[in-house]
Amino acid sequence: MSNSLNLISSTDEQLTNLIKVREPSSVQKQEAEMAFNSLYDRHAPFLLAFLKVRVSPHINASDIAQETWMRAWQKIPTHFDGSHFRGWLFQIAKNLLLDEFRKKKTTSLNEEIDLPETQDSTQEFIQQEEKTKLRDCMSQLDEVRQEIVKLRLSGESHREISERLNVEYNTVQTRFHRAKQFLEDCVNQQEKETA
Amino acid sequence: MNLAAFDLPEQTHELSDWLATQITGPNLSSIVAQLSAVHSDHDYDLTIEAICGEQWNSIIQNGFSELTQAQFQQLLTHPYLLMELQERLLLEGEEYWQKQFLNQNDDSEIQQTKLIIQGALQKPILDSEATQQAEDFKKVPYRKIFALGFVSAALIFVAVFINQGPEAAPGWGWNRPGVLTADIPADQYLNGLADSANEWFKKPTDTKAALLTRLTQFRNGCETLINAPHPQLANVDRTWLINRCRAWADKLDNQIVALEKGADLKTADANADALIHKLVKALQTRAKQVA
Repeated sequence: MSNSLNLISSTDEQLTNLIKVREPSSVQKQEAEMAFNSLYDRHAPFLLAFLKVRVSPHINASDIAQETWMRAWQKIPTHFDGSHFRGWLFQIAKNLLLDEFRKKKTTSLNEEIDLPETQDSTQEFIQQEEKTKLRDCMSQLDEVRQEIVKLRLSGESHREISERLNVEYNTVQTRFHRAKQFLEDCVNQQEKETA
Repeated sequence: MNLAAFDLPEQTHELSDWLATQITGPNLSSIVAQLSAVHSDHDYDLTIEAICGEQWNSIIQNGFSELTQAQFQQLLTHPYLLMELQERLLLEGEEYWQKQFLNQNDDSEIQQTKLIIQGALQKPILDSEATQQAEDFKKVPYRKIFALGFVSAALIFVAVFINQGPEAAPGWGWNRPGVLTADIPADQYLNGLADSANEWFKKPTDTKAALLTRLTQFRNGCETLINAPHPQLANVDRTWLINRCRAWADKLDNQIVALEKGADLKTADANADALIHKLVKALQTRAKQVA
């Protein structure tokens, strides 16, 4: 119990130092595991939040999180330099995401698409489907409605849009809400067709 | 598809909370996709530094409350920055952001993953073995393990035992080598599993640490049992065993979580004993039926 309390107040660097000196079947290994548990409690919610918005629908964020922690356990002794553990953990996760993504794409039917080389491009790739559907539907709106949607989604209020476009306030409101309804129906229809 | 980006509030002071909720929530990717579809003509040169400037310190301490409408507009019209913003707030955000992210959390998912990792660490890991174990682990995510069928399960089973080198600490219960591979009739096999589970009572669990270790080891054995091929059993008995073991595993998980959250030792110990007694009895009863 006293060990647990010490671990709670230990810095990430102190905890990783305990992990670095682990040896099998020894007190050190037990201490290393406890230190690793403390690191997990400290950083796991944030790693999962990071992963959940970066995985494609076919990949489970918890599976990647699990792999990230296993890699961290293996690599702390040799690859962690003691500075900013969470940033290092995220880097492992990014590499795993990229690996997973490449694996999925190379085994999927979509072989004509260029594979992304970085996590940022992976992210764009993952969002591409949703983006394309909405963009297609947007193109079916008339120009004024497109402009209203664009201004509203850049943070302008209905009042500001009304003044900028010289259109009645109520008309702006109505057109925006109808445009939103149309886009939702249109995107949902596209999803049904591709399902 | 829910077009959540279209629900952004009109007032700047409300935008602050709305954006914080999106940044810390699970739908950020979708919000970014929707904003990107609408603002398809944005340039990629703008940076978070350029938008937030000297207010960055205030943002990481107190959120977006001090951002102006113009700054919000720059963020909304350059949605690719929102992903980077989320990462930076996860890494640099202070108490305000830590709480926001934790509020969005699914604690059970995190605890479940923790148990899986603890189970993997309980297996002896020698440096030379570590990579291979992780590879095996990676190839078979626990959620998908049943879908891989008994052939895969057999391979994992073999891999687990291959990885236990001569220096490995001997397993007990269902992790004891030979328990699941014995070539014996079904009823003897089930009785053997009951006897192995009874090994629980061989060691004292008079401290929280001891109970936690023992429970985690037993839970780990449960995972081995779930993944094993059980060629000794008929399909119906094999299915029964795996289903029962999954239920026991859930109960063990709950007990481990309760203990970690500070459950009373005596109660936790009694609950664990009761569960093991119950599962031993269930195995023996099934053995009788099979016989």
